Amino acid sequence: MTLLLKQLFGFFKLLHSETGNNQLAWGVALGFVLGMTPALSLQSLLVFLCLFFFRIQIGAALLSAFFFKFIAFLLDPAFDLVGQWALELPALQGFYTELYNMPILPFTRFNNSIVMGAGIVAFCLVPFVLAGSKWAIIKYRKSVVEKFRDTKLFKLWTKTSLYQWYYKYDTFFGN
Amino acid sequence: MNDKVTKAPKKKGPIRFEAIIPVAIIYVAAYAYFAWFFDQHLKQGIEYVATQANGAEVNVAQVRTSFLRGTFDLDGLEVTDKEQPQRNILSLDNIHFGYLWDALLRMKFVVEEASINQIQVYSSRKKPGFVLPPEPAKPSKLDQMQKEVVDQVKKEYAQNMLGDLIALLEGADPKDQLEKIREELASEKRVKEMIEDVKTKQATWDKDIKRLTDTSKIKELESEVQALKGEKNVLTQVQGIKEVTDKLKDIQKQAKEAQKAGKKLETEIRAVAAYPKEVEALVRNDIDSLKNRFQIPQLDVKDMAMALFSKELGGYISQARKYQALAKQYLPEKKEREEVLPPPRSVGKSYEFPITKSYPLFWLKKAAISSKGTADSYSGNVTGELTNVTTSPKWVKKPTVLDLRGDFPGSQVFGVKATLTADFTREKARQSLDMQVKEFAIPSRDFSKSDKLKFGLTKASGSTVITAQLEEDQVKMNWTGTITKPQWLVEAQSKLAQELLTGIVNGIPVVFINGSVDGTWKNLSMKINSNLGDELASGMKEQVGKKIQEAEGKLKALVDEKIKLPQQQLMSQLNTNGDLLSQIKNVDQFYKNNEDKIKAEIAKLQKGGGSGSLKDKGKKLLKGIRL
Repeated sequence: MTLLLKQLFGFFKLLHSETGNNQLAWGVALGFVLGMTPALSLQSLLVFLCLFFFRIQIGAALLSAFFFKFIAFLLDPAFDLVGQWALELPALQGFYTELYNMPILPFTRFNNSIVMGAGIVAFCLVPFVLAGSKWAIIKYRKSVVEKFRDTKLFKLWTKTSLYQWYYKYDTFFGN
Repeated sequence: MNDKVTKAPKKKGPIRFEAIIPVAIIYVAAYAYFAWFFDQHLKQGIEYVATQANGAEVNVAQVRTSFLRGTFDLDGLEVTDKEQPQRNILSLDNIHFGYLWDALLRMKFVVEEASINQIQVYSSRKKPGFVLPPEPAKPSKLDQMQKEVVDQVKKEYAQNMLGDLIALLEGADPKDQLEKIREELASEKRVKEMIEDVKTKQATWDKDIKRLTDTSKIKELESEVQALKGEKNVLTQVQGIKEVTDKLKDIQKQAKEAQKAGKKLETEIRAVAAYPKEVEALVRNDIDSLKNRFQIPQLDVKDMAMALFSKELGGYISQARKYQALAKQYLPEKKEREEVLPPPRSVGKSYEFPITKSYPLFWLKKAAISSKGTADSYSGNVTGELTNVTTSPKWVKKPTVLDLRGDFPGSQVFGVKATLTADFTREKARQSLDMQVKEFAIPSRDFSKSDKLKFGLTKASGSTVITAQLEEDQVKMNWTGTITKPQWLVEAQSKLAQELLTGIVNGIPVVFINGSVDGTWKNLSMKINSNLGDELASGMKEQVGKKIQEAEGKLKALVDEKIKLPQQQLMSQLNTNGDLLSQIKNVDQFYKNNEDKIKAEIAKLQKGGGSGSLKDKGKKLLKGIRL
């Protein structure tokens, strides 16, 4: 429970920070891919590498992965069906056989129905998640964060010594 | 004017260059872990898991893995014997596996070369291994499987045949035992039930017969008809005919009832008449079961060999069953099982595509096995190899073969050759074993052990050849054994038996045994032939045969005596049933005869019979009116 709250607070802190919209949106989108992938596989490793090498918000990705993991868990039967359909397509049997016999590629575990199903769903939905999350972040920052910052209560709060102390602490040690 | 120049923060590019150092640190840390700590942790993991599985301490001296070379080495494996913790049940000096990198890149495990060196059984430990507290006892499936096989052997050949024969030879008499039987014999109990049944039925039958054989009514009617014949008053006569006809109807009803009751009685009496045959069958059953109970054996040459060696053959079958069941868990037959039992949804279904350029998931191409005997263990000088252990035998197209050769001087076992083949390359899986032991010491073996006879070997040498095949559920096993240089143990209470047995075994320098097993694990048929059985049976045949006949005769006489009286009582009761039947038949006939007679008389009267016809009497009456 503590871990869950910590992740939620972390995400809200990110939303209220100056971090770029694109970085956050990409974080959410790649977290979506991580969350949909059922187990540690080659594609998960590739996503992690992307998170490290590109300026993508890792916190947002981890929080998003944490959230989508639960949804994916419920969607496993649907992924199973999609994966079975894809793996049983007669036209692709030759292609799959090629992949199955190639080096490295079997580490993606593409021959598993849930991995394949989740991969297809994640691949198809990633642009929508990216666009949707970007839109939601901008909307949230404009309609909620800015309005909140204009309230008297927040202005009063920013004048308190506790806030000043925390602000300085966060400037030096935060992030 | 503000002197301070506020610098706009430098826009960062899409690549996270500042992450290079942390990522590099992570990689270096991972490399360092795998280089210096992974082997140690793997060793601890293997020790922990193996200890939990074994129930006693398992030690591994060292584990070495090389990612670049694709090798795995395990040194100094010691598995503590949980019954005797100061020794190892198994120890190995080294296990080496060399994986093929090309296969590893395809997520497959192909072992190009492997070796298992210096296998030792029951070697002593430097310090006793700790034993885990025992888990609550639960019946093991393996034990059940072995029991299933052993029970089949016991069921047919568990009796101490030789001991029983000798006991008979000494003049053992089942009479004493028979007299001790307190409970009733099945036949005796049934006869008593039959007597009760017949008694109850006879009371009912007597009552019915008495009622049905009452002929007073018909006699009365006959006299009434006779009286009517002499009646001169026409009106009275007409009136009488009507009454007599009505009475006749009653009698007809009674006759029908008698007929029906007669049929029923006949059926019941016939059923009861089958009682003596049933009693005879029950007596025969009782005699047979008592023969088993008092261990009166059948003297059969084939059975003699079976009784002597079935325990040993049963032991081999039981071992074969155990190892076949253990091996089955690791045999590549999973595809069919997966189809029968679908995996849970969250695991998904893993599709297998044809292997064209790749490798099977696991393939141990060749593992060399070698061991040298030491003075303090049961290990031997063994060499051998294990080839083509794989998850896809149909693709590899080669059967799994374990080939072992060696001597075990510590246990005085020499010339062991064993070839175990598991062939799953064809449509029907076939497993086979060819095993040969040229010479082994037989320390002592009891063929029969009772108060009256101890018969066996104190020392001998032996050789054995075992071949076994399992194709689907069908098991075929052949066992050829020889026992040479036998030193016999013959201790019989009776002098006759001692002389007889000593004479027989002294003439047998070599014992040959041929055994075979055929069928399924649940229904095995066994055959064993041995010259020892033949010689013993033929040597004892004449004398023991007489005794068997005598004992059987006595047993029959004793059973007969026990049920003789009730049987006689039953027979005498049944004899009276014949009288009842004849009585009911007589009554039936009587009714029929008299009924016909009365009917004829009534018809005559109706036509005006009797002293004058009714017509004439009517005419006379009319003439009188004219006057």
